[in-house]
Amino acid sequence: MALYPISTKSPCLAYHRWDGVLRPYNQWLVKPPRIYDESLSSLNHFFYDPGADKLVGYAVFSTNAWPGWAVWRYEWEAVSGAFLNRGQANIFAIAWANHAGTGSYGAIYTTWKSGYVISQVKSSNLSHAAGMWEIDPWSWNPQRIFNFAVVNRENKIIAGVGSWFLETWDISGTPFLKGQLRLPQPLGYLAYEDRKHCWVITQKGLIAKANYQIPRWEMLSSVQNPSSDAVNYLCAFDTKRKCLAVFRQRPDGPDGACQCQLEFYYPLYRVAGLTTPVPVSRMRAGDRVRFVSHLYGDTGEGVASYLMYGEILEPASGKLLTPISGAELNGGATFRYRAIAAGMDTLKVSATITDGEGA
Amino acid sequence: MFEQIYTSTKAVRFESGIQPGGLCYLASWDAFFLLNFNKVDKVFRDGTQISMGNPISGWAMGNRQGGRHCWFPYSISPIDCYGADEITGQYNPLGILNPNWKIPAWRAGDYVDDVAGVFLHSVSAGLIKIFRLADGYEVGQVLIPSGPLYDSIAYVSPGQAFAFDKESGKVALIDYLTPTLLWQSKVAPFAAAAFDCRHHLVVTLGTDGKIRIYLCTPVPASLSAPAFSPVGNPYRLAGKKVITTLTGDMGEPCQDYWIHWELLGTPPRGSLLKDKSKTDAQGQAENFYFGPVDTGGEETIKVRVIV
Repeated sequence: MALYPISTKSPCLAYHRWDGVLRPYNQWLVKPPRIYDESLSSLNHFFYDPGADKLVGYAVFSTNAWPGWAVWRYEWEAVSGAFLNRGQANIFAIAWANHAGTGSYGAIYTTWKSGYVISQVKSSNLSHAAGMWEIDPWSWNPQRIFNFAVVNRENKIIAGVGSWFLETWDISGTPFLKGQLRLPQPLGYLAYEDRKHCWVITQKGLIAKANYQIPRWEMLSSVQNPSSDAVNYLCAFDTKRKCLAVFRQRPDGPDGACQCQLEFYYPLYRVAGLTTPVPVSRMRAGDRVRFVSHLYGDTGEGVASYLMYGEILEPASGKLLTPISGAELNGGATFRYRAIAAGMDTLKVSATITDGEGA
Repeated sequence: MFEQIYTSTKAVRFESGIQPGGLCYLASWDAFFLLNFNKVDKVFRDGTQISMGNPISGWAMGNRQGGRHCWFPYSISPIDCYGADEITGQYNPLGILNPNWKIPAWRAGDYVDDVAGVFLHSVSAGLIKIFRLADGYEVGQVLIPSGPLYDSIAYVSPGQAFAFDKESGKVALIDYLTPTLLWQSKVAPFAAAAFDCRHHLVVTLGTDGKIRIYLCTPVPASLSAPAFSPVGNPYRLAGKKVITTLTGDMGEPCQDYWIHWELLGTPPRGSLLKDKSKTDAQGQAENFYFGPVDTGGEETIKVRVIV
């Protein structure tokens, strides 16, 4: 499996234009050629709110106005990533809540900077109210502190990330560690898909899908065109449309304009390249010579289910015995060729990729 | 010397200019896992290289039975050896391959066969020791005459592994269950090497970043004079087996080569069963010679190989 990009909304945030009045805070913001009086510092929470059918983010801004910072709650349209609304949010949504995300029963859960528990919170302000679900990994053996967590209350499973490992804990009785997966890079964000699967995006744009119940990795891919200037990546899984939304944080443009973008991906086959056919057996006149070529995705993952076509370019002296070959699960396809006599031939391999075609 | 069949036009880029920490063929990928300093890459045979994350700092890579790899933390001793995840190539924190015996001495590129329950450690020049994973007991060793300190040991087939030395390009095929050295050969010096156990190929990554692919059949260097087996003269019309052996420059057998047989007498005295036969895994091709009705006289058998 790979990831098929559906659409991109860029920029997905619009900054407030400077009114020309110089205030004492963060004066770099309004230094020409910059023309906006605010700038995104970080997006701390990013999730799909199934109740509202919206993407939600909580962001910290640097501002020119007092007190030099602001916390905003953003809402984006889940299909297109169009900006819907932003409203002032409580500082505690940033200072206390760590990383919020969707979990089972369509609820929102977060880890905390101010404590070690994982709590169900309100989507509107990330506050925990009495009677809401909560669990304390610090009371487990061994004790745990998670920065990110996926909560599956139905199957009584917690998948959490403290640093380099995605850990699965069974909380049906006395909590115990079921398994660990090492992350390929430092984590950008963790998103719940369903009772079995979650998505991981790293700070450099690798995207992995895990079956956290076993646990095991099921796919490794990446964002399309990972940019070297990206500051961070966050992801949220739209459980209604079964697609992955990625927030790519990029530095402001020369005039201070926001360059952050929302990208949407379907977990479908997508081809990034085709390797040159390489001989894997002895090349002798009269022998059947095997050549192997691979169809691969953004992170080298094999792309299966496509037919690959081979062709000996003119002037041809040998014969291609298998002009059509199917890509295996690892994306590899084998072509057999026989030369009549010693000489040189050129093997061309191609695949017809139907744009947007799924598995 | 192994026969080279391919050199990539693309060059693999070494991170920070530092030579890679290891290359392993992953059978499930049909491609190679490269420990590239502070990155891990997937590398295809044509040199296409895709970064897929970062390794854990301070860990080294080893080879594992079945076309897989494993990880060792090299800052501590004795060590646990961990299996690797097949999607990301990262180590599996709960997948310890040696739960009963912590390995006291090891090198990057050493080999674990957790099916047969052994660990192969390249100890010193030409010496590979074999330890039982269950309790660390040394079950045997393979001594390779004039062999170097091998940089990596890679899976070939159940019970067999190749030892690679990057500086000299020397390659030794060992049977670690017997344990014996089967034969030695050579490739061009390289930065890292792996064995493609699916297609039975030696694949090296040169210091120039290029992928080179070698058949496991050495380039023929010597064809022995045909000899009767068992030794002795043929008796009249009774057939007698005659054998010739095709070997490379290090005495390694050359398999799957056609040998052409010919009697040089005018007219020929006696006859040959076949005028061509193929060399087997020992590099031997055989034929039958049937003598003339009268037993006197001499005949010469000429053998040739078409390379």
